[in-house]
Amino acid sequence: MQRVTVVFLLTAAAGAGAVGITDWLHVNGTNKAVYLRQREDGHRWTWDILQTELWAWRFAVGVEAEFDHPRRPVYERQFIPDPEGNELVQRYGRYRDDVFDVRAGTYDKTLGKGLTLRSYEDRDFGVYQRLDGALGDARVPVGGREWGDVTALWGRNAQEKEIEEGKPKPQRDLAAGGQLTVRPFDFVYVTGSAARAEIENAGTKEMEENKLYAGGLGGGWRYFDIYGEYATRRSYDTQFKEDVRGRGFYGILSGYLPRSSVSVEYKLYDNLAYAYNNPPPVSVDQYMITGPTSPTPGEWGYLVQVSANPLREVRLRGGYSYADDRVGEQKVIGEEVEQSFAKLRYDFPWPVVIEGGYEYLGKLNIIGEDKSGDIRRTPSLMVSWTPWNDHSFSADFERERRTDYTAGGRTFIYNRANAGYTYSSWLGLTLSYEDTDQKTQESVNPWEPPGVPRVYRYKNNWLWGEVRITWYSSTFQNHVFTVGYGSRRGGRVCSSGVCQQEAAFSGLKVALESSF
Amino acid sequence: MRTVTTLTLVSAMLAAAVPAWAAKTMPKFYLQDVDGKKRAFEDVAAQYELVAFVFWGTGCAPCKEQLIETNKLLDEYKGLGLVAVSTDTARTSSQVKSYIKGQGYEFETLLDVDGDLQRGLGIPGIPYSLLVASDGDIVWEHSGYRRGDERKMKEEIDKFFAEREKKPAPDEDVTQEG
Repeated sequence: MQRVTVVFLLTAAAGAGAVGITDWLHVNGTNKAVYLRQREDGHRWTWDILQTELWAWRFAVGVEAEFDHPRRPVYERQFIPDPEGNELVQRYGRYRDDVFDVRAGTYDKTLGKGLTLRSYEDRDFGVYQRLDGALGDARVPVGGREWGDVTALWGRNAQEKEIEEGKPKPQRDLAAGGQLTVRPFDFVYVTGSAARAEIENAGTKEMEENKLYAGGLGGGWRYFDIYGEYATRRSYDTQFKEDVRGRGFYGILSGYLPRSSVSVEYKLYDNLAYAYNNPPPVSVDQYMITGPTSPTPGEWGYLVQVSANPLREVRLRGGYSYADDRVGEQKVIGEEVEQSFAKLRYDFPWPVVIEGGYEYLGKLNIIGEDKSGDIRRTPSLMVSWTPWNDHSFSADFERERRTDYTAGGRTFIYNRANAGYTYSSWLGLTLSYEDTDQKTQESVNPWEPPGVPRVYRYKNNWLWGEVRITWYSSTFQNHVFTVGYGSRRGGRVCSSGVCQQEAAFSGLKVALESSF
Repeated sequence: MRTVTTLTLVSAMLAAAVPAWAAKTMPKFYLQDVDGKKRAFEDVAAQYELVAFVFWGTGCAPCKEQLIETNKLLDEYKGLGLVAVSTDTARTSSQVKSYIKGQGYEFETLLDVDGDLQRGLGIPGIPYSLLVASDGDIVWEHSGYRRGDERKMKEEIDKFFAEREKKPAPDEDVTQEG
């Protein structure tokens, strides 16, 4: 911890002192601190995340440090148990010029569409797949034209650890790969990627060796774009002495007319996924119809989506998607997901905006005569009004009708309403209310991601109030101070103009976000 | 708790203490645009005096509101550019171009699929907006979007161009001295 504090202070001080004196030394960063106090039992949580990057000429060092007190339960599977809390530090060094971009340390990288390798972190879902190692990118610009680019990487899992005889031990997960993209003409490109990953099976010394290869062809013209990628996987599990083969295809075709577009996506994955690649699912409006770590051996799905702005004041969007579980190309008993939505937005001449929408989401698991899962139908309405300069009001309401087959086909209603006021972009007030006639399980611990069972209680209405003050301390620094009180159901929450995954919580929340 | 308090206070003090002349600068980046070509800040800056960067995602409703309102500013200022930086991952980035074209937008859109630029700027969440001068100095930044926030951005744009007009251009100086 002391080491991290020192690094941070030195970096920030160097930046504060040197920026402006020289034009080749710069520092950027943000510190976000959150304090939560549970209303019922007075239990407290604190969380701080610091991101900073210091550039000197073409070289940079970066630090991302996260502190939790007490430890967030989501880390239990992956990090060293520590009653004092977690201190997670990621660092990297970097060189960049007009041709090369080379990094050493912690990094994220996606090869192609992610069919061969995707190292990333998603705290909301408890996914920690960043790599510690080296990454190099090079562009090939010749005669003022970019002919392509090449990527090579090598790394070990940045954070995955296991406990052995009470002592933490880094797992041996290792990934290496590369990608080559060539643009022989402006309207067409060819890409190829390969990755090799050794995944350590939890709690054993056994390894699973994966080899993946993918090739993609894409292109476009004024009225359309097309891209397709085909991948194969071969894996060998040393524990079960098993040789597994898989393959997958992902494609997208988009057509454009003036102020309107239609796109169609298609996927078929058969035994393709492993720990470091999560192929893109087809999705509508950010609902992922397969989870980021879906254990299903195969998936098939498609999506059709339209977007249009036929008149200056009118905006339309809509879409439909379907996906189900597969083995090979055959549909098997399992989950099938169907989703559709439509939205219409109108800008009136007096400063009023109205948006109406309707969404349908059905997630069903059908086994013989039995059905589980649910179907949700949600109409929504949003109105915002700016009567005078500096004063804006907004309100939105949605009513979700959920037929829950796991609860015997009963239908429940969820109502959600938000009202907000903004004064001159520095003061924001938000009041949110939700209720349901379904007794819902609510997690007591605010840091749990959705779906992780721990301790539950029952609640069917939530009221949350929040004040947000933005302070511009000089020409550019931005401090955002937020105080909220009440209870919230959790899930994806858009509050005070910021959308993020929030856990269920009731009590006091204080946050300060400072950029420097 | 002590650690958090210390870090919060230190960062807040440092941020407040940095003098106005110590300009925050756009980090170096190479990001793919929606046509798959790599773009650097210099490529964008060569076309405009001031560039508004808006970080957004296809699943973020306030971000889409902000794109609509910020896009309206482009008609008012000749020297202003707009770059929408999508924070969509490999899972959803395929839908970015279709959305942008369908909504009739003509501004430049970059894909920050691996979060490279977000990390370089320390962006904690979306939407997030910046005004960046063509020399790379960040002149204003704002976290979140509520209806009406675009007026603050407009004020800052007016202020920037007003100050630019007051300053004599470097070649004018030479002419006068000569």
